[in-house]
Amino acid sequence: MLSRVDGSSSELEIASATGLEAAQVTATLSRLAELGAVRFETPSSERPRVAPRSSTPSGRLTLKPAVEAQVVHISEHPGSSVRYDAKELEEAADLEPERKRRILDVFYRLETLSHYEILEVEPSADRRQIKARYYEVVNVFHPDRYFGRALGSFKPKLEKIFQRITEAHDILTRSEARAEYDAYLTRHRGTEALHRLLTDEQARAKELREIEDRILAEARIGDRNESLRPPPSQMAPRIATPAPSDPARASDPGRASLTGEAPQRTASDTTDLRRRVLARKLGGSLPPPGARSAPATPVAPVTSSPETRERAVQELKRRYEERLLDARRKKAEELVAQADADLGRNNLADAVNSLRIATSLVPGDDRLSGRARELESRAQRHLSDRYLEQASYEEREGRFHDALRSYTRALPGNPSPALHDRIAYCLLSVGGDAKKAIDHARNAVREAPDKPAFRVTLARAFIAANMTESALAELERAKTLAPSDDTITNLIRRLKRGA
Amino acid sequence: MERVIGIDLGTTNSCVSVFEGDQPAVISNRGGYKTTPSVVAVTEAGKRLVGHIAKRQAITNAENTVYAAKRLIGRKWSSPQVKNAVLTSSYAINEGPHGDVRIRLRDKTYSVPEISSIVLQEMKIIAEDYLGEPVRKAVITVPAYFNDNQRQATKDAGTIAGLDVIRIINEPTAAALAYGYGKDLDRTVAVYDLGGGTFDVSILEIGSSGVFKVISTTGDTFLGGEDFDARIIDWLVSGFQREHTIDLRQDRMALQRLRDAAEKAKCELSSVKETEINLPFIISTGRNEALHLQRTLTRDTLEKLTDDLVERTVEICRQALEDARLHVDDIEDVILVGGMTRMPAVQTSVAAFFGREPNKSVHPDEVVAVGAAIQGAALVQEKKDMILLDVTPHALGIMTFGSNFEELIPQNTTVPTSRAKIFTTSRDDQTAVKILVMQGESRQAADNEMLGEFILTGLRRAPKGHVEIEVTFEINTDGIVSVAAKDLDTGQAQSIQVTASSGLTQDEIKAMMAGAKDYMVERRADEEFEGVKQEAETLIAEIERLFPEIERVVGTADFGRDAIAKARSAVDRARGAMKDRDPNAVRLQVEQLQRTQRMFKGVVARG
Repeated sequence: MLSRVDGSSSELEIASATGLEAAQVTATLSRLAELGAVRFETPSSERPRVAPRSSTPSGRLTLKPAVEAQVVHISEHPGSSVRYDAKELEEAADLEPERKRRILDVFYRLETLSHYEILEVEPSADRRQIKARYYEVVNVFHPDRYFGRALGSFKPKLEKIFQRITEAHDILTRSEARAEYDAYLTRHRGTEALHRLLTDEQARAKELREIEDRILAEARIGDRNESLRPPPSQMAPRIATPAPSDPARASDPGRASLTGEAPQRTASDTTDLRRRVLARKLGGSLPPPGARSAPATPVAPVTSSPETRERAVQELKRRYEERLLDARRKKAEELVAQADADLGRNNLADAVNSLRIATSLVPGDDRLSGRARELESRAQRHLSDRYLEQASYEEREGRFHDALRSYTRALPGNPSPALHDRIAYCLLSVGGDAKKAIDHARNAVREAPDKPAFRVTLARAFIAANMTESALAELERAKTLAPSDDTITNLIRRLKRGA
Repeated sequence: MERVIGIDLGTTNSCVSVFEGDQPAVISNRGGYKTTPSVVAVTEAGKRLVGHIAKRQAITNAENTVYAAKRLIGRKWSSPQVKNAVLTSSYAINEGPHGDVRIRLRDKTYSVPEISSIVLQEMKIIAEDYLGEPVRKAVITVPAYFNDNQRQATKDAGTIAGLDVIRIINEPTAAALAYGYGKDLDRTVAVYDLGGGTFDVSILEIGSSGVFKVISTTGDTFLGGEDFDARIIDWLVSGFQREHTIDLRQDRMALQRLRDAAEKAKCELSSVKETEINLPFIISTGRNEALHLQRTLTRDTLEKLTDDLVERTVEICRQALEDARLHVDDIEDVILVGGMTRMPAVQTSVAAFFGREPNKSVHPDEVVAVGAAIQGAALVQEKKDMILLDVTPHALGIMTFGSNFEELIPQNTTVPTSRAKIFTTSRDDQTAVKILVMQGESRQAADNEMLGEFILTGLRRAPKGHVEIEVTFEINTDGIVSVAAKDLDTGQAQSIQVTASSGLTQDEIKAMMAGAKDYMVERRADEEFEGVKQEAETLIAEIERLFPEIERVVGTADFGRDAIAKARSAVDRARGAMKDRDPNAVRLQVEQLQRTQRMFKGVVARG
């Protein structure tokens, strides 16, 4: 990944170049930054408000992304990324190059910026601030600013930008409309959060570790209490082992891995940790597992016989593990209850999260894991449905980029041929990767071979890839399916004429 | 930087302003008045009159004098407003070739934009005389509530007058510009514009950085000073009828005198409590007996006669606030525009509604032209310190199945803007769809104004409702509406630029432009002829004054008799040339007369 860091690529671009998840890239980048391998530029003063988040390290993942108070729209569209063809700057328009750049930069992000972002105001900005800011940007983007100048294609672009900033102003300065919009943003954030939750194992692993650490720490305290109060059936084995007084130190290795390179802790890791802590409790009498050496603890003078001692040790070990297991169960139950509560509040994201963690805490519980799986697929379907809604709305609004993203995200939860068809269609609409479009359209046709519309999409994808022959063949097949469809006939005629 | 004049083309009066240095100036006409009556007349001799002269001869030439052409501009012959005007106008209104309105003056028929162009041309001349240079570019104002056809007709009038109309702006908006320009205000204002024929209310935000943003605008294009006058005329006519059982409306000359008297009385009542209306010899009875009209009109009576009109304006103010989603308390200033706002009853009603005394810092008759000049200058100058954001006064949309109106761009949308909506076919196997572009607020398409139409063909055959057509409306910065329709399945697309119709074809406009140019040449030649004629007449008078003296001094000598004969023939030739209205011949004779005069003066001095 380091090889892709070139000083100008955004996190998203690096992600797409390396095939990693964006969140992974962000995390790795911040790790690299800690190590001094890379350095984040401070946000440039020129556009301080538009995309501060794209240039600040955002590797610290929040515990509950669902309540993250950030605008999500932009997170995938960093302001630094150039989205226009440099040739457009060369158009002979009577505008300063800097102005042209600014117009193009905003124009090509019109559909991805939130109302706050397009006006470059904070989501907390009050009405006055929004108005003042609007008046400022109007003076940059209103075509009358350039009256009498030859603007070429920049004039309609300015008009579009103006319309968009006015829409943002009109909505954000009316309290009712703003509340509605904020609610929309929150909903949108909801799907984003759910999406992240379902795809982001890292965040969950971290949360799980934190819970584990807490359980272990509590178990140790319980252990200390226990050692003061001997179990009734037994003579108190005076173990003078000073319990590690600082729980933080005890879990140091774990902590290190939290911020360390290896982000995921496997099940064996957890077992290992448990063993190590136990070993510390028992003071050197248990051989250190694996290559790791437990911190040496002084062995206290022992008075009883080796057998009694061994029994006591076994007993202690058993009880300790029992306590741990109890704590885990208790925590898992808590989590299940929490998940139920979340479900009651329709908060699918948090419910799934809680159940997943609960499952990890009590790995053997089939009922629990079954429930988690069921809920997870429900969440996946729910997310898929939300994305479908979002996508069809976006497609209707002509926001094909957004629609493409939403359709793509809906796919795992609902891999239907129609969805593949829509993805292909949107890809073609935004002039995206024709090969990808062909793949999706083929998928749709393979699974629903008798749908002429899907074949037409595939043919269009072929046309986009300059594969006229294949397109014609596909259209002919579509025609046999729908002989009276003028669209197909027309397309065939046009193609033949063109060829 | 080319100068841009701002013209307020009013129903009763027009006004022109230009930016000079860094201040707008209102230009006076030759008579010294800052406003010029929007009156056009054709004399018996076929001479065209504009402004004060036209207004002054209206009584004796009522049938050939056009008042308030603005009430007809851009309207269809079939509209109720035109029907009403046909009944009440002193001039003849006929149907034009495109369902438009034509006005007959003497033996010639004029379109309404042509009549307005005559007024605009006059305003252009006033500006040119003042500036001493030709003027080409102009910003013209229209009532905010004008629809696109009316705006286009006004623009066409400008074109006919030889003006390049760089922008049409709304009158109340222009007033707000004049009110707030260069003051760095930050407030929400209401503009109450009650003019001669139209009423508008606009709510604006004047923000920092010179941004003027209209939030809402509404009005009535058939509510103005003329309606107040009509109430007085009704009162006079019905009173006269009661007394003498004679309907004064039947006599065009009497009606014109009533009209003048009513307007005068109305104006007077803004400053005094009562006024005398005195029209001697208003009409003669069948027995050749002359009747006089004499009545006293009090302010109270006038207010009673017109209180529903004032109430209507207040209702419209309420609507404007509602449209702006604002409360009366949000309005920080109220600007009064238009001559009618001098009426005390109007001022008190406005003050009562808004809960504050209206601002009187702007001149109600001149402020609109000033605003137009400001906008003109702001557009052409390099350093732009003002941006005007106006709204569409009417909703734009298309007619859908069942003659319903489907709105795409709502009323009070800030322009430039664009909106798209998806429609489906209404019949099975429908392969073409007709897109009818309309403007208005009614759900019934028939009640709205037609702007244009086009046909999208090549739809794929499918059951009804299965073909999706995306219709996109766009209004650009210059107010030009374009409509595009696209078959979402085939990508088949069709679009038009909706040129609202003024009722005139491009060819007609061109021909009228040529006519207006000819008139200009003629008029300039006329002025030139009048100039030399005056010179010749002065000389002739001088020479004739000297004849007796010359006779006495040199009359006995041969050369003297000769000179006198020559002088007499020069005078005769000059008179002949003047009679022929030939400026070049007159100029030639002027030279001859000057020589004669010099010689005469020399002789007198010596003798």
